[in-house]
Amino acid sequence: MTSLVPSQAPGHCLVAWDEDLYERLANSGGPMSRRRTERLSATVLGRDDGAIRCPRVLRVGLDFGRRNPLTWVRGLLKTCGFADEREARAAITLPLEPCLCRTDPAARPASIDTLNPDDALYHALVLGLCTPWRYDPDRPVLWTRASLTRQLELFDGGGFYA
Amino acid sequence: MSDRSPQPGGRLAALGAYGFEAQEPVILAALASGDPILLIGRSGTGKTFLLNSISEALGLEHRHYNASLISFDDLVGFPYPDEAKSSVRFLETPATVWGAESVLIDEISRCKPEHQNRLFSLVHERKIQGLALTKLRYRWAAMNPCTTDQSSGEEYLGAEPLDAALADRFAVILDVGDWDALSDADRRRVANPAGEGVTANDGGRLKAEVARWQAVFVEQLDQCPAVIVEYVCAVTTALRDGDIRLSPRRARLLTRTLLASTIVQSLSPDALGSRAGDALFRTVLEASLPQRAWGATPDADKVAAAHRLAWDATMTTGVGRWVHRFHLERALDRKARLLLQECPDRDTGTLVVEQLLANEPKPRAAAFALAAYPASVAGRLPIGAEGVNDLGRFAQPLLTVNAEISWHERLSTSNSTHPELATYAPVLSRLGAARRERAQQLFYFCIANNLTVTNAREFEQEFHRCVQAFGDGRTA
Repeated sequence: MTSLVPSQAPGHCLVAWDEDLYERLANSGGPMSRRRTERLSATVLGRDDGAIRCPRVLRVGLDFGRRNPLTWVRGLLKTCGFADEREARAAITLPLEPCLCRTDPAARPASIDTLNPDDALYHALVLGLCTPWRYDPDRPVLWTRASLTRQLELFDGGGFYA
Repeated sequence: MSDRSPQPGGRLAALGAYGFEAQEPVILAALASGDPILLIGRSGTGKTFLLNSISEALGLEHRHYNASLISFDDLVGFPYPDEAKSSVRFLETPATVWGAESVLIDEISRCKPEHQNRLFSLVHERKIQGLALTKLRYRWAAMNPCTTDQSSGEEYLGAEPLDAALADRFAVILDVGDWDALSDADRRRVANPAGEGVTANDGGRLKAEVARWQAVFVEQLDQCPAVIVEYVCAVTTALRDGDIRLSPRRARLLTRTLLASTIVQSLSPDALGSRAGDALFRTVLEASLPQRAWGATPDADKVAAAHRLAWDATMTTGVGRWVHRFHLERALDRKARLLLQECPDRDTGTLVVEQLLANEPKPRAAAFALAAYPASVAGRLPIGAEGVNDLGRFAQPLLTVNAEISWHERLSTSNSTHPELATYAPVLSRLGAARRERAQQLFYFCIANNLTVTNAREFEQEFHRCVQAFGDGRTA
């Protein structure tokens, strides 16, 4: 219902006023909508229940503590009886196919203090063949502080095109 | 419109038709190819004069009809049954179309729709009532700008947009300039009434040249230079990306006009990449856009940009040419096939992948990266390590999506879903399992990153074709 009521504003005598609207506004009590939040999660990596199978091949990562990774790995080579990383690469069998890499979201890297030297060298060689995105067994081993301190999951990407 | 002294250099000016210098190569090309011409211009700009003068110079048996006034009987003659009363014949008069070598249909946009349909076969097939017009060589038409395409001033009552199918049959569609477009010298020649009513006569020069051009044109039709065909394919694609559609028929007509124009201008295939070739191709392209006939003048900047892209893609030599081709191609799956099958070397492959990821809208770049990344890791793409890393950097957040999304829900509803999820659900529901999982990753990534997908179904289809291309036959 609309009625004419005196306005409080100077210079205005009358304003139109809808009493129903006034009542609705007075009693609304809050916003007309609420904000909803949900978590959206999906992956095609490492699942064994989907149509796309990109299984995890390997999880690698080394915890060097406070030691210098490069110095420690050079020492490890000597411990294992190799002159350099090329010799170690030729002697140790690593995954043969290229893999997708993903930074491990649940990384618990193995401490170099607890790993036996052969396992530690295996991890170090794989890390030396990885970028954050690709494991490439055909490239030379590149050890840098960055490459040795990555924690990575390796996946076989062949199933992506199923 | 004649002032025969002094004469400017153009062939059309020699006929007394001034102000057509820029368009002359296209008009002459249409005379060489015999393809239909449509002139669009304000009243009194010399459209009819030009075409009638050309027919006089070529010594043609000419018919000039005003489409707003003629009846069909005027065109074909009075029908009567033959002696056996088994078929209909037409009583020919000097005005009927049967013996004509050239026909000018003036005011074509003002005729009745049923007449437009009859003119359609005349323009398209050189036929009328299903009967071939065996002598007819040239089909020309003229019209005022249609009422939706007039900037100011004069209104042309009854000048309707030309039917798109009819307009698409004209190989050359030219805007005829008004007074402002004339040079000072041409203004004086046009304003001078000397020579009015004199039959256009250049001493048979144009007739002889047209005959020679036609012979060469027919000879070269079967061996059209590859760069012309490539340019037409490239520019048609580029224009369509700019929402300016050229039909496949139009692409063919454009090729013919370009070929004829290079013959008229004596441009050898080796000289096509020259500055003169560049200007000529652009002029021909601008004269081959039918949209003006129905009042939808294409954006000049878009046309210029499409020409530049196509020209560079066609005329650039070596690796640069392939790079232009790659970027000119819009569809992601076609880009994928170009990369897989024709990439000249790994450095170039890396370059185009980097450029694609940087320049495409993010949803499309994401789709390409997701489709290409696993294949690049497997070493199936002709790209270097940098290219693989770029794809990986882009694709990793797509392979695993884990994000919080929020939306507003009306108080009166409960259990609503994110609006984008609701949009994508029907698209996903129709897909097979593996295809659905891939598409879901892509859509979820878009939602998590607030990326808008305009047409989800088409986007998914393009993504899937791209996956198929990179899947190397593994993907259904």
